[in-house]
Amino acid sequence: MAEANGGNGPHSSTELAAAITLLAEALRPPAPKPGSSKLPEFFREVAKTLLPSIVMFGLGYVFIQGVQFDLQREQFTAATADKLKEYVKTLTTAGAETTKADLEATALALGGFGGVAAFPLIGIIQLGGEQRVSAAKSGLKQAGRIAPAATCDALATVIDDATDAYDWRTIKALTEVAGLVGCAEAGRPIEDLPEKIESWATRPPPMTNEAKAEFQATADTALARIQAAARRKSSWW
Amino acid sequence: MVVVHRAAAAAIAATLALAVPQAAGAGIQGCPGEADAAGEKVVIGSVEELAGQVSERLKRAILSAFELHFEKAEADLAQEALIVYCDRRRIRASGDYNADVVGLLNDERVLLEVGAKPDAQDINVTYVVIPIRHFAFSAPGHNLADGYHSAVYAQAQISEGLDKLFKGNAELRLMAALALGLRQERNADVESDAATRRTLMGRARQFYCDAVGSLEAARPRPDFFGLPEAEWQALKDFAEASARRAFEKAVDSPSLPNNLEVVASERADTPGDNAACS
Repeated sequence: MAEANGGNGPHSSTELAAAITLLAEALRPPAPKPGSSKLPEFFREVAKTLLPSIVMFGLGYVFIQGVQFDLQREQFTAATADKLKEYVKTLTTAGAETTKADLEATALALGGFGGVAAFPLIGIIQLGGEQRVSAAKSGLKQAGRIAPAATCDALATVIDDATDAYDWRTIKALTEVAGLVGCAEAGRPIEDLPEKIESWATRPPPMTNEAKAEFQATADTALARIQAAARRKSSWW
Repeated sequence: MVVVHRAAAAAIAATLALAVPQAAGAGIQGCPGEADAAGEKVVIGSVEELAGQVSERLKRAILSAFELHFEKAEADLAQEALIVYCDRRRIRASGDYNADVVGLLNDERVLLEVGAKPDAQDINVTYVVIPIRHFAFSAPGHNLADGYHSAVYAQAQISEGLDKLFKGNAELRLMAALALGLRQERNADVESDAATRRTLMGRARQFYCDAVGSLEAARPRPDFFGLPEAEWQALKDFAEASARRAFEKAVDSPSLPNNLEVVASERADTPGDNAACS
């Protein structure tokens, strides 16, 4: 039967058994050498046990840190809003007893928030009051130094405003600030001012000839400063 | 780490910008709405600073003197300037009237700001002549008046007779005339229409000559404090130089030859001997 199946009889069976034995020997893991430590195995087992916990701890840590960061950011934003509100209120409610130094300090602190402070400071300039406006211009210059892109964008937007939301005194003050900060974005709106000055002169608030001439001179000075600032920036490279 | 979330920052900015009252034109701080009216203005600050420093009776008396004198002044100046009483405005120190602040007041067409402050046993009446101060900043180098002038009055003398305060109005008239003259002259300088320019320059010269005529009445006397001698001298130099300048501009300009005569009524009570006003 064995032969019928291609076998070679009893002799062949012995050889096969020997071969299987050899194969089993080959596949058996090597016996630990005498004197060798079982420590790696121990650590492997410990690692296997602790790995899920470590991964969970890491993920939890990252999650908690993310939440904490979000909370801190929200807290900071809320604290910023409170501070900004306080500064704006100080400037808008300034009375006869408020010193020029106090107004300047508040406006500079407000300007220290950078681009965020630009529109509130522009609003304060539009509100009027010579001491308040003078301080707000200082704050706006400060904001322009800290965050030129956002501040200049705000300045250019208002100088270019065609809705009559701002009167000529506000535009004049912002033109001066744009020149002092060197806002390239405000260049084109300032170039368009002469035509607008003529149209503003015919409607309230009134504008004398002297005021018209001074506004034009302010615009010319601002343009010259913007061009000088552009030259200074490009000469480095 | 000072990083504000962009969306939150934009929201804060938008909220605060909206929170700022958008009413335009409340240009003169501490003054009522009438200060927004068109035209030249004389701004009278609050005398509340005198409270507690002088007797209530004297404070009321000074306030009455202010009103009396300015009512009288208003009769003279009514055609030229609106007198605005600003209860929430105090005269500030000279350094607070910097180029920026004065430029804004000049844009608001303020001619003169007047206020009273206590000074030990005296009362200090301060005048800020806005066009002169603006001119001093925009034309640096001139060594004439700087536009910030204080006249000292002894409380005891004020108690004896308030009619002496403001030297019977001479100081007020001198400074208002100088302010009006300079404002008209600067408007004339940039006027393109010849006829309007002629009118403006003629009026500037009239006001300067009025100021020259008021100088003697405003001169400080040994028995009365008033303006310090140096400040009066600076105003005198400014008035005479301005009258001379207006005269020269008139002579140099072919469009102005018919405007040189100054009649007596254009001058104050005491005509000056300034050749430019003869």
